[in-house]
Amino acid sequence: MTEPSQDRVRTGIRDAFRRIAPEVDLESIDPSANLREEADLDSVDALNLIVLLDENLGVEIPESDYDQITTLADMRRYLTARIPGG
Amino acid sequence: MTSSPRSTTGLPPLVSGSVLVWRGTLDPPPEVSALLDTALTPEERARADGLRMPAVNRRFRASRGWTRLVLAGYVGTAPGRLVFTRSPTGKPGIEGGPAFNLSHSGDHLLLAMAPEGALGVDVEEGRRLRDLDGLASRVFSTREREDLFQLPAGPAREAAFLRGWTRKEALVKAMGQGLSLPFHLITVDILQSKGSLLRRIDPSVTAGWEGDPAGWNIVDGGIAAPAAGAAAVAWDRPIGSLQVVDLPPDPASAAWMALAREM
Repeated sequence: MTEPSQDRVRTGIRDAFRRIAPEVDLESIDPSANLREEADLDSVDALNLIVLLDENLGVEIPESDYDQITTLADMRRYLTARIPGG
Repeated sequence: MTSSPRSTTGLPPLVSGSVLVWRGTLDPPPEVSALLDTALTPEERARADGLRMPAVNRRFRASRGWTRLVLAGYVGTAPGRLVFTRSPTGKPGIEGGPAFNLSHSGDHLLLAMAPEGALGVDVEEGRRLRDLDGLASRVFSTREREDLFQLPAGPAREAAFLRGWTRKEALVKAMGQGLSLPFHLITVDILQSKGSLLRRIDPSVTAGWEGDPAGWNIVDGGIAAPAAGAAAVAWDRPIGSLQVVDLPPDPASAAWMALAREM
C-alpha cells in the first residue's frame, strides 16, 4: 500500500526544512500565517525550499505559482494536489 | 546638492542622487533591544508574541524596531505612530516620506533609504549551497550560468551565486515584486563588484513598469557586513553615491537619545 499523498507531502516538507533551516520547529508554526515570516526564511532559503520540494516530491513549482504558496497550509494543499501518484 | 526630506534629529541627511544604507544586527545588546521594543505598535508586539521560536521572535522585534526608530527620525513623528502603506503588490512605504527598503538574513539587517524613487535592497547570509546546478538553472540567465561555472566549484562559486542572487533580488524588490518574477530574464554581473552591475532586463520583466525601464541601476557598494555573505542595492535612477552607517553607532549618542525622547 502506498503512503497517502498528505503524509508524503508532510514528510517531504519536513525533510526540506531539516536541510535548509534545521532550527525551524514546524509544529510551532501557525499554518495560516506567512511562512517566510513564521520560519524567518530569507529569499535564498525560499528558493532552496522550492528546489528541494521538487527533488523530494517530484512537484516542480513554476515561478508564476509562488504567490499561491504563502502559508504552510497553502504549501501542503498545493503539493498534495500535484504530487505524482497522489 | 539638495537635501530632502531633512533629518530632524541629527541623522545623516538624505541627498538627491544618493542612497543611505543603515546596517545593523538583529541580536543587539539588551539595552538596545529594550529601546527597540518601545518603538513597536501593540499590533506588532502581538504578532511577535505569536512567533514561538525565540530567534524568529527576536529578529522580528528588532527589525521592526530599527525600521520604526530610524524612519521616524526622518519623518519627524514618534516611531509607534509611523503609518506604513502597501503598494498593490505589498511593498511597504510611507505616505509623503522617504523611499526605503528593508532586508534581513540571519541576524544581518540592511535598511536602505533615499529621498525618492523605487529602491530595493537585499542581504543574504553566507552559507553552503548544495545543488548549485538546480538553483542556477532556475534563476540565472545563460550568461550568468556561464560566468558561474567558469569558477572553481566550492566557496568561490557559491559566493558568486549569492552575489548574483542579491543583485537580482534587490532589483525585484525595488520594483515591488517578489520571487514570482522570472529571475532568469534579468542578467547581472556576478564576477565584479564595482560600478553598475545590471547588464540586461528582458522587456517582459519591465512591461508593467511605469518608470523608465532603462533607468535601473544595481550596485554592491561593499554594504554587506564582513560576516554577511552578499548584499546589493537597486534604484530606478543613477546611484551617485552610497553611504553606509552602522547601527547603532552608539545607543547613547545624542541622535538616538533624541529619537528615544520623541517616543
